[in-house]
Amino acid sequence: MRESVSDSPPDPVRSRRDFIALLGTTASTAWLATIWPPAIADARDAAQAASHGQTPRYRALTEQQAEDFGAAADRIIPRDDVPGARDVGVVFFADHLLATFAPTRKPAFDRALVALNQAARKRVPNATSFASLPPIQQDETLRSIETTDEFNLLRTITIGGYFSHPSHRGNRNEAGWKAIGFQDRMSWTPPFGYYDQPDVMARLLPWMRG
Amino acid sequence: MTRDVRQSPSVRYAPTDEVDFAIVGAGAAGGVVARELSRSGFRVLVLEQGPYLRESDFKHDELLVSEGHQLTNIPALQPQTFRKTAADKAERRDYIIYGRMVGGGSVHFTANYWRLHEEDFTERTRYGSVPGAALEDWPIRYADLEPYYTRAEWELGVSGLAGANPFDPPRSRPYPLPPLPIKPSGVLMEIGAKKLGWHPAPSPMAVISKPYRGRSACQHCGFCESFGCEWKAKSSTLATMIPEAERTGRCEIRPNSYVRRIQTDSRGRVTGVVYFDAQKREIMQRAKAVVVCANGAETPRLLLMSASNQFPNGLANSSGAVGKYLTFNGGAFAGGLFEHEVNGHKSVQVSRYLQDHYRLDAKYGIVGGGGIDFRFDWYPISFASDALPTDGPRWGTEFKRMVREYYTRTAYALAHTTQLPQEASTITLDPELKDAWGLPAIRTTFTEHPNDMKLYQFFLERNLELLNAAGATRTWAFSLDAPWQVHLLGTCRMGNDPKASVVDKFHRAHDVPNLFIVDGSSFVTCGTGQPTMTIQALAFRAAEHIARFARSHEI
Repeated sequence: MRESVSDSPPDPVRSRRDFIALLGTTASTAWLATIWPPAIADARDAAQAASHGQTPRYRALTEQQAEDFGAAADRIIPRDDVPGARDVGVVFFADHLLATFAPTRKPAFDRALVALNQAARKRVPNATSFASLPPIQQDETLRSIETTDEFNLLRTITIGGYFSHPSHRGNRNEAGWKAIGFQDRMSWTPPFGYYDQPDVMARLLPWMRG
Repeated sequence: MTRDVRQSPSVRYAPTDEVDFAIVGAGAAGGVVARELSRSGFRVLVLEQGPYLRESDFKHDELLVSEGHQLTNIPALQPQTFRKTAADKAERRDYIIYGRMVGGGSVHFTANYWRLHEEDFTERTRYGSVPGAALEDWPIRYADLEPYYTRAEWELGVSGLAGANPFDPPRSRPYPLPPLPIKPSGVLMEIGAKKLGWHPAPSPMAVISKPYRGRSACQHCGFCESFGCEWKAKSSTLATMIPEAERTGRCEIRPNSYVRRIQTDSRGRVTGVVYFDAQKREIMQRAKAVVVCANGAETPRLLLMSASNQFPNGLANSSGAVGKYLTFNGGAFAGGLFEHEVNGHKSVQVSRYLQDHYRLDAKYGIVGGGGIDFRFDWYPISFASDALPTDGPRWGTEFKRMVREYYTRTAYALAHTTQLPQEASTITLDPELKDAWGLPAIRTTFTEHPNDMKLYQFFLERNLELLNAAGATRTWAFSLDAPWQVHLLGTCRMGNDPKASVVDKFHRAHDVPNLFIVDGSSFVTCGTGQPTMTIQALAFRAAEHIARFARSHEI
């Protein structure tokens, strides 16, 4: 079983709820009110931007944190023939997450980025930040911390941002879903895949007729 | 999250109205009991701690149901503790997950709908005394429950194929609805099982394959497990029993009502319940009788919280059995990669199961058995997080490549097994931790019996064998340790002996004549596999007897 994140028991049968375990202990129903529908938060962003005369950026992250997290996320889910983590808005997802429904996780997130930068400087003593390293050295840095809770937090948020419902600001244009062949639909009709096509079933299951 | 969108509630009772029955919990059991008792002419009030959601509240949003706990208990408000044995210090851990809304767990369950078999009711007779286990026979037999299994299938709407599973116990009627379409994973199970000489069958599912009683058929969107069904095709009590109860004009569903205590008088009879409303005001609701359907964790907790001078160890607990003999069903889980598209994310999670190992041959020296289904119950986030082979990369280019390759081409074998009841496995009140209402938190004490682990290992090997026989190009096993539990069973077991059980065979508390308990806590042994159908069959049966007692003034 894969490494579990900080709050979940070690080596679970199905740690699919790692994401919940990670964030859920501090979440409350309040986040539903704050992010559902997300238009509420969007409106607030827009209002703030208007009052400051600037483009809305981040509410929870500093610019440097956004740079470092984005760089790490892009190594966790890199761009290939389809978009990478940053391409689909994972940084905005993280900012939204930490600003609204999991604000008490911000300290752990801060610590994870500190650990990331410490690990970067351990490999490249004069590095100004993780984000400033070339990809190969970023990968070496991540490999050096890949069994830690800090890394798992970054991984979990990256995966959440890449694959969650786009209303949470990641998975832009459903790019994460498209990458794996998932479509959010209210209905499907058989055949659902290869093996349940009538001619294939007739060949594979000759003993099942009618 | 908390909203009550009822346009015109059928009836409203005042706290000072002495209703005939106050039911605690509007879930799989409570919904059935409410419908049956209100249709029998009684004035029924159902108190549900969770909200009254409608289909329009359900979204295909993984974060909403997981991180948001839209349909389940909320750790931030209802923290829990866990320990392996009574000698350990319990640590903060949310081990128990249950449905917290009108409809309860029947809203978000996968909808596997298995009957128990005849031998599940007589394991003590079959195996005798097993060291460390508290095996007992049930006070009822399969034949007593069969008519209610059939009623549950027809009243709720279940899809399946009678006679297809050669190990199925006898039934008095076929399923009301034909099976849902076979999925690619089902075809793969058929291929593998044929090679091994096993006997797969269409899975009985509480999801309707055709329109039924005014509800639309399953549209195969794929969001069953962990989600509510927007189509009302999943036969939850929210979609079936509860609206029918409300239509009687005698049943009020009162959401956001968190019962903290069952009140008793000097004669030792129940007089009503005390609950917190949505504003955390304490309200005493009077009732002639109380039916607790709060699930196998919350039911014993409520009884223990209802201790009084007269019932110092908790209400209905002269036996000391309240909270004991906790079981969940066990299991084993394995994955397989296949050459072509499986697309498990389409349609219900399960379309084929088999029960060839329902009762292991004595040569294995293992008590009990299990069933296996082929399924896909991942959604994109959980899949990428946890579904891949455990020895593979967890990030980077190759990780991403694998997630993309595997998502549409994997099937998973899940076994559901016996667990042996043990006196030391319990739900109790945590002595320190409190919930957001100041009430003692659930404390779970649980360690598997050594037999359970042997059984899981046996089934893990069968899972891998079956995936390989089905043609998997790669298979992998998951850990046998469960991170959380959802089948909550055995904690107020039924029995004929008031010294050793909490309720009698009609679900009446041995100690309190006008208190009934109907949910997973009534199980004497956990049975082999999926419990929801038995919970609901018990509820239909209990309601019939409770109504009979009430009519003949025997409450």
